[in-house]
This record gives sequence, structure tokens and C-alpha cells, in this order.
Amino acid sequence: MQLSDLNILSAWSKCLKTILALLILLSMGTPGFSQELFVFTEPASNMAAKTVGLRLGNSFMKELHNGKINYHLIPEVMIGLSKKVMVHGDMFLSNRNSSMVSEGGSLYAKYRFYSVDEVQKHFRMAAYSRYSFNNADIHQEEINLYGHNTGWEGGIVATQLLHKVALSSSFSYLTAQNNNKYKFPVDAKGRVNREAINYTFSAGRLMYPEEYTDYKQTNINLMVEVLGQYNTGLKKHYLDIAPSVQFIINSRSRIDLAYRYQLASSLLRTAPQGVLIRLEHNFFNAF
Amino acid sequence: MKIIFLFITSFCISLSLSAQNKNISLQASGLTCSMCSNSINKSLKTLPFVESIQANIKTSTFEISIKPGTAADYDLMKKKVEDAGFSVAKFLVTVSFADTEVMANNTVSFQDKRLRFVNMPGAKIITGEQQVRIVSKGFLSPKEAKKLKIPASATAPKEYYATI
Repeated sequence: MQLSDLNILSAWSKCLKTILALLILLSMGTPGFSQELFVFTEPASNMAAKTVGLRLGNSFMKELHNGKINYHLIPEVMIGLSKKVMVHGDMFLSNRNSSMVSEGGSLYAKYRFYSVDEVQKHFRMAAYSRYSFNNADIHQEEINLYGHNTGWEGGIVATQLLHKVALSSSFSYLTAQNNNKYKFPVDAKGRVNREAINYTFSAGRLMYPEEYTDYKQTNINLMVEVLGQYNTGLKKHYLDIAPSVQFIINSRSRIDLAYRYQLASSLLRTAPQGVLIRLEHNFFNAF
Repeated sequence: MKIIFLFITSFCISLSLSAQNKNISLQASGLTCSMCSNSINKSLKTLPFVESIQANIKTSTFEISIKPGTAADYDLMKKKVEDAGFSVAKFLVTVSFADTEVMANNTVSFQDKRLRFVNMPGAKIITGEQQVRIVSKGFLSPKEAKKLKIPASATAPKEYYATI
């Protein structure tokens, strides 16, 4: 067993302890609705048909080698096409290389294929796919289709809403391609390193209000997400944890504040840690 | 023979009511948050026969007032909830009855709709306003439909299984 594997194992054990503690915490306390509007992952539920959502993602990621803060600006449009299908379109802008430039974009679609609803409960499953293109230089082994690499991803997500807790998990396969003129690097041994598996686990809970009385109340949600990647060619991993707090205003706007922290990594990553501030507004019955 | 007999009997005891249904109480299932509840609320408000909606976010229940002189389209209301990504768990309509005997398998017609009563323990004479629960497929959870032994066979358009 390699050192990197041991690191991952110890990170996982830390992570499982955190999740267990969190589950105990979530199952206590006052009754409420749980939340699944996760920050770094999408739940199996879709937005309502004929709804349009606008998002503005602001990431501030710290470079490991020089401490420089990279700013990534990600405008996003989300459209609920039907009760089962929704699509996202994103643009990726960043100042990682000098001034603020547009580096690429992505298209994402999700199809909800399984749904069992009960009052204040549901179990849902969805399949999703993302295609991203990016013109920036390739600077790390991690494959990131949300603003760094060209490639596509296909996966499955399952979300369970219990009375007080929402839990969601996803598995996806992703493959990176060349970023336009920048070739995807092959390591010294010439291994195929452009394929990876992403896996996530998310949990969320509504903290405020204790009881809903009207749509104007601001909701406060606490969430934690575990985000991992395993590169099947390099046989290397990373594992991150991302706690977040979310405010829902007037039942139609959202502010997410999140911090992404690297628990362990054997993959080369240049700026894995940082803050995400995201704003969202939804237009119901938009078309 | 038994079916023909039932058919004739049900025709004989099919009643017509001139009254309207003014209120509908709809409970949705599968909701997580006020944003989800709001998406149902906004969607139901686009229906031309809906006058106003009183939403209880805590119980995911919508008290819907129907515009006087209009007929509510139950299927369209169900579709609006489903398009928002959720399901109907309970659908209660308030109907005015005038000394009407209601029992299993008889039908009551009003406006453009017909209610076929199921799961009734015996005959009941009803006068005045009464809440009737619509239990056709999609108007309650599949689990509850099984529990209440709702017939699996489809009804004619605008005909709904109902119970009190």
C-alpha cells in the first residue's frame, strides 16, 4: 500500500467520523424540513418545469505554491424544461493567468427517472451529463469540468429526503480532452490519465425558521459535502470536505457561502482550497 | 350479469347536483423547502379558475378558492403540482349536497364532473357542504391507494373515484 493510499484511508476515516457526528446532530433538534439545495453537487430533484434560474458563482481559490488568490466568476442559467428534465448553461471566467478572461463554458442536463413521494419525504434518482470546453492551460492532474478542463461527465445521483434530513450521493465517470491548443498532459510513464471517477456525499438541514409561516421568511440551511475523485489511469485520488451555509430569501433567491477544504490528495492540484460565494434568483412560470 | 346489474343500479342512483365546489384543499408530497412550496403556489395561481390560494408551508397544504361560476379542472391542478416536481398526497373538494344518499359505487354528478364513490362503509344521507376526498390515481400516494383498496381500473374522463 502506498503512502498516498494510507493518507486517503485516514482522510476517509476522519470523514466518516465527521459524517456520523453530523448525522447524529441532524437527527436531533427541532422538527423541520431538510434541505437538498446543495452547493457543490446537484440533487436528484429538478427545478420546477417552466422555471428559469440565474446564478452567479464567485470562487476565490488559493494557489498552493505562491498563495495567490484566483478569482473564478461563473454565470449560470438554469431552465426547467419539464418535470423530469432540466438544463444548465455556464460560462467560466477567471484571472488565474493575468487579467479577467473568459476561459470556457459548459452544458449540463439532468433527467429524473425515479421518484417516490410521501408527505415531507422522497427518494429520487436522476442521470446527468455535462460537456465542458475550456481554452486555458492545463496545470494540474485533477480533472475539473467546472472551469478548468475540456471534457464530458456522465453520472447517477440518488437523493433521500427524510423528515429532517436530506442525504444525496452521486457517482460519475469523466474524461478530459485537450484544452484547445493545450494538450492534456501524459505523465512520464505515458499512462492514460484523462479518465476519472467522481463520487460525492452531501447532507443538509434547515436550521431556521423552526416553523414555516410564510414565503417571506428567510431560510437558513447548513450543509456539508464530501467530494472525491479517483483518477483511474494514475490511480491517484483527492478527497475534499465542503461545509456551507445557505440563505433562501423570499422563497426565490439564494445566497450560498461555502468553504472547500482538501482532506487529502495524491493528485497534483494547484489551488484546491477556497471560498465560494454564489447568488441565485429564480423566475417561476417564466415561459 | 352481475356487472350489467351493477351498471344499471349505478345509473338508477346516479344523482345530479346543481351546486358548485367552492374550495379545494390540496396537499402536496415530496417537498423539501419553502422554495419548492412556492413553485407549486406560483404554478397553481396561473390557473384561470383559481381565485386565491392560502398556503400552509409547514404541512405543504394549499387551500384553493375557486372563482364563482367556473369549474375547477382537477387533472390540470394535479399536472401543475407534478410539473413543479412533486406529487398530490391529498385532494379534498367541498361540495354542496341536498339530501343525497351516498354509498359505495353510486355516482354523483355536478358541473362537468362525476364522482364515483368507493370505500364507503355503508349508505350515508348528506345535506349541505361536505368535504369529499378524490382518490383516483395520482390524487393520493400509490401506497395509500393500495391501503384504501381503490379500484385499479380507469374511470371515464372527468369521472373520479371519491370517498368521504
